[in-house]
Amino acid sequence: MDVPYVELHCHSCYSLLDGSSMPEALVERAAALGYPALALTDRDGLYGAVRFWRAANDRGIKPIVGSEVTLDEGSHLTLLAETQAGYANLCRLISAGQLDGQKGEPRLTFEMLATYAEGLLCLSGCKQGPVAAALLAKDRERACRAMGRLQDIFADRLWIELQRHLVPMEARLNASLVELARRMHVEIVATNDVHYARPEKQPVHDVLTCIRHHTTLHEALASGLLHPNAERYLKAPQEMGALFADLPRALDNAACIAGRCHVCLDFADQRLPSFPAPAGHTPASYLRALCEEGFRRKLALPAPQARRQLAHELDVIERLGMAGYLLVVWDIVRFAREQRIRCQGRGSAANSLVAYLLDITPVDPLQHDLLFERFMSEGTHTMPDIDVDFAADRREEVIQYVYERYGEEHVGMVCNVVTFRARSALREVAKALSFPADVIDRAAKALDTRSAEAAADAIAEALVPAQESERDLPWQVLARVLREMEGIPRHLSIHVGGMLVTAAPLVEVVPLERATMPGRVVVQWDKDSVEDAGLIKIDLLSLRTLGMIEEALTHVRAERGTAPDLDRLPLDDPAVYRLLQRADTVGCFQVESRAQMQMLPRLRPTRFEDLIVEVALVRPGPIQGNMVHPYLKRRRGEEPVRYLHPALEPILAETLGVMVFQEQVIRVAQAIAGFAPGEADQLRRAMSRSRSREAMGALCDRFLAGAQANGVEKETAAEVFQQLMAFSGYGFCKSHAAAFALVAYQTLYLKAYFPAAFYCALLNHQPMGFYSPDVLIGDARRHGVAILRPDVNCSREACTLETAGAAPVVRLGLRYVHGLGEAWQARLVGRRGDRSFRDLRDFCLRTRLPRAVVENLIRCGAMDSLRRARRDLLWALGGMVYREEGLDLDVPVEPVELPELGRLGRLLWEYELLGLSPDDHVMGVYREWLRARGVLSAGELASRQDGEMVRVAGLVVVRQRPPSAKGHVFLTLEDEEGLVNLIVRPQVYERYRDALRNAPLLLVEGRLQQVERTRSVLVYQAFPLVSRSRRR
Amino acid sequence: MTRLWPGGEAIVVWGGDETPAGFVWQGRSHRIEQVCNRWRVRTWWWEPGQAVCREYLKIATDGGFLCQLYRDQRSGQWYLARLYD
Repeated sequence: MDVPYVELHCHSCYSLLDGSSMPEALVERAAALGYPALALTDRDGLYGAVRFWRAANDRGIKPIVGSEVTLDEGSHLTLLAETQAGYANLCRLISAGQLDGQKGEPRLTFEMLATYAEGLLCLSGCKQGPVAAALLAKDRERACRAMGRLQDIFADRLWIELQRHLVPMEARLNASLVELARRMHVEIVATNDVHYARPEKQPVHDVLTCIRHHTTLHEALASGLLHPNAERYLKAPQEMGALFADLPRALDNAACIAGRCHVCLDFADQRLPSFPAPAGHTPASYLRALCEEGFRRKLALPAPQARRQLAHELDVIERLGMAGYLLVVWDIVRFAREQRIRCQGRGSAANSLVAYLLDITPVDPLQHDLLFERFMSEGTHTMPDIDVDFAADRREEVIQYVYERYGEEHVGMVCNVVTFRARSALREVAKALSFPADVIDRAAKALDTRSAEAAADAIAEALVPAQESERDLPWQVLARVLREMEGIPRHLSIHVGGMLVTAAPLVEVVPLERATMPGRVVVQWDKDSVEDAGLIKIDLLSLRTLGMIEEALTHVRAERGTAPDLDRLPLDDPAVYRLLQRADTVGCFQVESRAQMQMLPRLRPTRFEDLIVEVALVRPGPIQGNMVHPYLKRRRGEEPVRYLHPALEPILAETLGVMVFQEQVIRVAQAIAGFAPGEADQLRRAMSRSRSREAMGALCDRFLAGAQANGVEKETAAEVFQQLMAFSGYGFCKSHAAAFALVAYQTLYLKAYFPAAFYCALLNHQPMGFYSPDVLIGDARRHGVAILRPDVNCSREACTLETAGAAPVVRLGLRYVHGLGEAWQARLVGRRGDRSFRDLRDFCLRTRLPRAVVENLIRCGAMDSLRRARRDLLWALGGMVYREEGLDLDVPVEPVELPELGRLGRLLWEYELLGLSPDDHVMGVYREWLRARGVLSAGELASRQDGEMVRVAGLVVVRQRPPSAKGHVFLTLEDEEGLVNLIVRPQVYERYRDALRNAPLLLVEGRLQQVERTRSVLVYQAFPLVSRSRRR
Repeated sequence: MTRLWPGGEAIVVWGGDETPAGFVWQGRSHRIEQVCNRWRVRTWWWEPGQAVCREYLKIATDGGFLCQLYRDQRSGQWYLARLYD
């Protein structure tokens, strides 16, 4: 007999640390059981609603959207959205409860319920519902009152929920509920308060409960926190039929309710923000006006097709209704620039002339032959995304501006769901299973995998320890549970920069809740759900380099009164390309990595286009995909440039016939197979994602058919398709590369012409980039910029420029002294004022810094300007008695002859306390000893020939073992004269593993390899420098 | 007064396994007049040797006894757990 039942009370894992199944798993199970519909009612939120909605629709099951909300007296209520208006109210209601309460403790009042009740159906809840809880407490009065209040609010849209989980006290409770329902003329409905798709998930659910309550399984069981059985699974309608055989009405009502609900979670028509255009304008006309103005201002010599391109872009933008979106982004960028916050658009948006004219993106797409269709075209099903980088230190101001401009109801940050990963899952599950803390610690540290599933395998195989006492612990159970924890949400955080700005109040589309950051509000959907719901986000990202550039310009302006407009630089400055060709790029954005430095002397960029290719090509993907070598060979004329078909020549000429850019894929699909731009972009997208043979086969057929219609030979077309496929994983977006290449160019320009400002800003924006501060300082010195150690009388918190004679020098800031926190730094500078410290006593009395801090300052040389040896100062400090605030006694100090602190001693202290040495290098200490043994410095290496056996030594500053390099290891050594690149083959690495992995100072012997202008040493033997010298 | 058998007294049921009609204990046969309550317990899964997976029945017999029976869901064996006075 068919039981018409629909589950209306169901939790997914988005009821955080409670539900144990993914929405998709619940949908799958429901489909398998023959449900026509299913509800999702997660706690105080709609986190999984979009995933659920899509999965259900895909499986032909009607999704019912709801939530189990928490009332201010702590009870739970099940609410379902009947209509779209009801859905909007549900969002508002949940938001009200979330924003009113504390983070993580939402609270709804009956008043709020009453305000937003329209379109909502109310089920009285589980045994923590207001009516049931009162009955359990034997307070019939209260139960009636609660019922009455709910009836006032929901009228006949109220049902009494009955659950039969086969626990002893249920029978009586349910009987009371049925009786109460009868007396007060309320209908009854059966639910199962589902927490997992199948009963086998009970262990996961129990463990999540323990994690939620910070307790172990034993204690949870004893405290009654665990469900006594595993009945809260999605049951077959027949099972529910048997359970409620005496109350068939309860089952019928479930089906009835389900039949009433219809909501749609596709907000595509509401996604686009509307921009308040000034009087007399529509967003579209205002956009045109701004573009006109930009056209006049930025295109001094407009190319003939500029007009046509602009008209075409504005046309597409208008047809897609995207004018408002572009204006919102324009306005944000305008605000940032006004505040002197450096910013620029990145990604595919840089393909657009409109974006360039609006000052959103920095590169002229016409000048660099970019492709608008990569950004936006009709006929794709994906919305364009604009990502903008802002100076990291000031991005917050921009975010605040957006909130203020559009109001809290229309703005929200996209959330990020943090799931259980190997280490966190291991720790929490093991704790619930009462593993001893030290065992957990060791096991967690031994894990070197990221996924919980892999961790489970690791445990099953290898982690079971040797110790007898520990072997008895339930390792197998741990592994079993861990396997299921993969991907289960743990908590929410804010997505890095994604913001939603909507026309309709956002709070009617998705519920909002508090983030941990005060004043910050997030939406309950992550970026995938946001996109699937048809909304568009704007990514406000942060890039430290931008802040660094801005600071450098400030220094230049301070020194010279004026600074170059980096956004209008001619892109052909020879000094920049000289730096690039020499691979003299430490500190420069995108071009400083080891891989880049190895490639630059071979690629030898001479134009900006070369720099774009360099940025796009020198990445693990293309290197692995064997795209770089063909390009290099063709550049050097070693290989002829061939095109499979003449139509490919204009597209691939710029990259010598090698497909490097995603835009080229689109153009090739258009030229060879006659695809429309939107189709071509879809092909590109599908190729980079599809792995299935069927999908590839279908794409191939379409391509070949189009090619044939275009008059292209079948063989040629097939070969072109092969090339496209091979390339699809590694292609880079050209406009993104161009935008980044521009930033790289700007940093190179600063390094070439304003090195002091460059290094000062660089040192103030660490950590950033590929190298640590000590390498940056070495590079600065080699470029003639002296670096002065922090000084108690001259330094501020940040690094500053001082003029010492002709050229400015960089004074390290107090922030570089380890152990000197912000508060102490501020105190030192504050109490110094404009009176220098005369001596140690003066310093201590005026600053009252803790003794340990003063010691650090002495040892790192910050008091060298007081003209006493560091050891003397330490001795004198020892004799001083002072409290941090208070009266002092001077204890007379016996003068003593202290041995001089040698060079090595000084260096060691500086490395310990500054992480670097401002004016010396540790290798200098060993130089004589090394020279006596035929070891070359970086400078001496430069004069040796390819193929010679050499010995070099240095401080290890880079250690890389890229997965694509087949076990090869790359190291970079630094000495007083520069950097040396080492290549270590896998067998050599194994033999000298300890030294290569751990020694900070390394001595190697190997063969010098010079490929074009790149030099590296192929290592044959490697030894730690220090122990070797001790041996001798 | 309640007699409680912590480990349960093994019994043999008759007249159906899901909901028996009666059971035999200590040589005597009892007919189940009424099932007053039914519940399931499934816990201690984390100690494999001690896992509990049972279905309990609170019944009244024809002899006027009020008892608690349970069936171990894995072995299928029925037990008498408790005799109420």
